[in-house]
Amino acid sequence: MSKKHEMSDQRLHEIIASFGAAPKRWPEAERDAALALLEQGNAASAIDQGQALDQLLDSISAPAPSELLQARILKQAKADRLVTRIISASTPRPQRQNLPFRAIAATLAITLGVGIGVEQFFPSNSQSYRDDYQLAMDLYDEDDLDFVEILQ
Amino acid sequence: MPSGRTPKGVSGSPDPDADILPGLAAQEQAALRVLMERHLRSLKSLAWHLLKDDWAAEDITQEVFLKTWQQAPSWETGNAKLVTWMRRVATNLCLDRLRKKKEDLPGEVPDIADDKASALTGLMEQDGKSRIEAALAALPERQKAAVVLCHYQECSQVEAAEILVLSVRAYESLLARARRNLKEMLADDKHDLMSNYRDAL
Repeated sequence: MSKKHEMSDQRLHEIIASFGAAPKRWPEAERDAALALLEQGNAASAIDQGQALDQLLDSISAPAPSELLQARILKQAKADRLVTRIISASTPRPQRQNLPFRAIAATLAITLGVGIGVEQFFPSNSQSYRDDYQLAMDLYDEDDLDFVEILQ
Repeated sequence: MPSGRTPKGVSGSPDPDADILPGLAAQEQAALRVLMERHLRSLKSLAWHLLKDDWAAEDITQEVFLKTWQQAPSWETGNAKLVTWMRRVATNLCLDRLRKKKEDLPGEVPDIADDKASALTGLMEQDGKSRIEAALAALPERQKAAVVLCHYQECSQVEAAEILVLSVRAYESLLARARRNLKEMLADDKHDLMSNYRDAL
């Protein structure tokens, strides 16, 4: 799977100069080829110099995390989770749960809007309705009187 | 996440923390505990090597874990490894803090050239371990970060380059400059230091 790399003396020296003498820190893709060249005795001096610096760096070690650090992180994570829950509980529910209500509201709004629009386009309807109503009442009154007269 | 997104384009190897990602996304404290067991020491070490301040290193470590916790529900799997992202956040926070320290204390924190000079003076006066620490402290910040990621974190070339937002070639060049500078600063007393170190072993 790994691609075979050409390795030159110059490249081996560059690798040691950059990454030090320990092959575990070398670029993975070039490691095998570099080790093979190293076994031929190339770059022994560069390895010595690299090892010297590596060992000096190794002499510095970071202090372990304090016992309190982990407890502090857990405590703050817990508080953070609580805040998140409170915020999510106080905000509107996700859209999916509101869908039926939204659909009904949208239908009502459209119906109302269409109704008002129709009324706006045909304003004479209401007047003619009132005229018809008045005429009907007039006729009713007259008929009613006629009816009385006939009975009499 | 400083950028609010997961970094992209790392090596194709599987995420070693894949087993706890669902737990972290569900905000389970048990998953957070496992994450701390795996990476707390390493991230504290990263911050400490960059800042050389125990309190500040723990502060940064705490911030990294909380950012991870907060971002976990929206974490996009298949991009970066979780620990790579955490190292990147830690490195950026440390570099920001170092820059801010320089801005806040311009009189007390000398520029690189002066820093190197004072470090060299310090090398003559201090014991072996302190001399190396002084030499590391004298490095420019990004060179120091490159050394820390390569030597102490043992990051792969690709991962370290991604953390520092560099090409692989540029990262290697940065690392070479850093080691060359360290060698120059330690050249005068390297042999003494090495013999002392070997005696101690």
